[in-house]
Amino acid sequence: MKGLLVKEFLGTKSFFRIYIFIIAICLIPMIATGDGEFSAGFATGICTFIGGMMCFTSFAYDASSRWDKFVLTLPYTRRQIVGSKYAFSLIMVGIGMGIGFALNLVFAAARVATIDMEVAAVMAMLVSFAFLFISIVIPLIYKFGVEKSRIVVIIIFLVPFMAFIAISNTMESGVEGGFAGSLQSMLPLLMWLLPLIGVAALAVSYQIAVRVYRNKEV
Amino acid sequence: MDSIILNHITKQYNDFALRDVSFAVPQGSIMGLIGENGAGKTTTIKLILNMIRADAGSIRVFGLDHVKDEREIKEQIGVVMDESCFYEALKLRDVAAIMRNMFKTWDDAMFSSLAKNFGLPGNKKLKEFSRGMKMKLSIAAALAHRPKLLILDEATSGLDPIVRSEILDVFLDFIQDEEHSILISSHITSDLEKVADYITFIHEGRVVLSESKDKMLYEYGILKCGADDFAKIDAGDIVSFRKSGFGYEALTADKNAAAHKYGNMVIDSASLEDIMLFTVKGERK
Repeated sequence: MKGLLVKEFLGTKSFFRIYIFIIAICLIPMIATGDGEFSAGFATGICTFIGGMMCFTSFAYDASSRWDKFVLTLPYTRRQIVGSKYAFSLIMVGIGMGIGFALNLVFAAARVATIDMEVAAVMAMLVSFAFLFISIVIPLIYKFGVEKSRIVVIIIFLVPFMAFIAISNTMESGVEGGFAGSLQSMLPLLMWLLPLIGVAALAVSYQIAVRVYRNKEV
Repeated sequence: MDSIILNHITKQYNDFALRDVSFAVPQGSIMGLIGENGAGKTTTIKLILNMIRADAGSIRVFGLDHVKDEREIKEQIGVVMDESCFYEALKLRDVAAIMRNMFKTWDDAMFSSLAKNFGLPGNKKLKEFSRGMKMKLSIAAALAHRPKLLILDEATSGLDPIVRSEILDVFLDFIQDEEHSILISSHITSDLEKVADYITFIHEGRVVLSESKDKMLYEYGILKCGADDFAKIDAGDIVSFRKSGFGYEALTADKNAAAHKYGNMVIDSASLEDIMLFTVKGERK
């Protein structure tokens, strides 16, 4: 599988430059206000998000260069090919989150932000959402291809987002403490539960993706 | 020994079917797969590479089962598709780094030497390569892990005659080793006439012919005659015929017998293109 991962990293290395651009953007609010809390949170979120999106980018590159066909002429099983996509995606989430966390450390050292349990909770949630994203996206792409999956992914993420906004508005107007308060009380539970759900989703997703890809005719 | 054996392969699609395809690629030879676009050449190659599954029949490569022993087989195969499949942002050294980690037998020195002989620039990204250069790169990458079998799907299509000639020379070099074989699909029949030892002709999903190229070129011929003479030709002596403003042309599978029987008619040798054209476009008597 090493060769497949080398191909992923060499093929998407130009994308790494985007992190430099993002770090520069993250510094703007901090420089403007002297407060690094927003910049730190933003950096962690956006870097993790980009890490998760890299699996999409990798599939899109494969389709445009016709690597998705060529890879089946190489000495790998379909399970290994699928495994390499999950491994690459998870490594990219790790790198994204690592860059975000490194920025947090720099801001903390510069005393413009603090690292506390809230940061840990946000990171746990971010990584969980990244796992869920990967779990949904990879089998979808294997089943429907990059283009069709792009639309499905937008719908999948738009519906919960809209629902979240709607519920949030309803609860804030009708229930004492509002949705934010409820979420606050659920935070410790979610912090442990969401990563577990994310890992379970990955395991199920991987098995589904292998099955889909095995039956796929390229 | 045969490098590839296809036995009664069938593959059904909604609008196309490959039916009862059988042929073998003998070790130490070049097998040319010819046929018009959509005849089933690429489908056949995809079946051999287990990219798609056959509905019936069996395929053996190096005597091994092409599904069960897929990895072992693919370690020893170099494949070139009709386009380069490497990311456009890569350079030669990136391609080497990728392939080095994919094939146990990858030979860096051989890749560098092939790239140098092909005149491939090491400092440019693949997106700056011409189509000819990209195909040469694909061929260099396919050869540099020292495969025993090369499978090429329309690898020379769309290239100018100079580049095609260079590539054909590389194939002839490769085949000098008696353990090596090549399966090459192409609709540029003149290329195959130059290098192939055997020809398999697929038409509408069926194998029309699969035999030695020299035997085909020696045995097939074209009878040229007017309407009166054409009326005297037995239907069993010709494969098909074409009518033109100048008279009739008929393809025969036994040139010598036809010359003996129809001594007063002109009989020319048939090229692979003639055999293909008459089979696809010709009328039956």
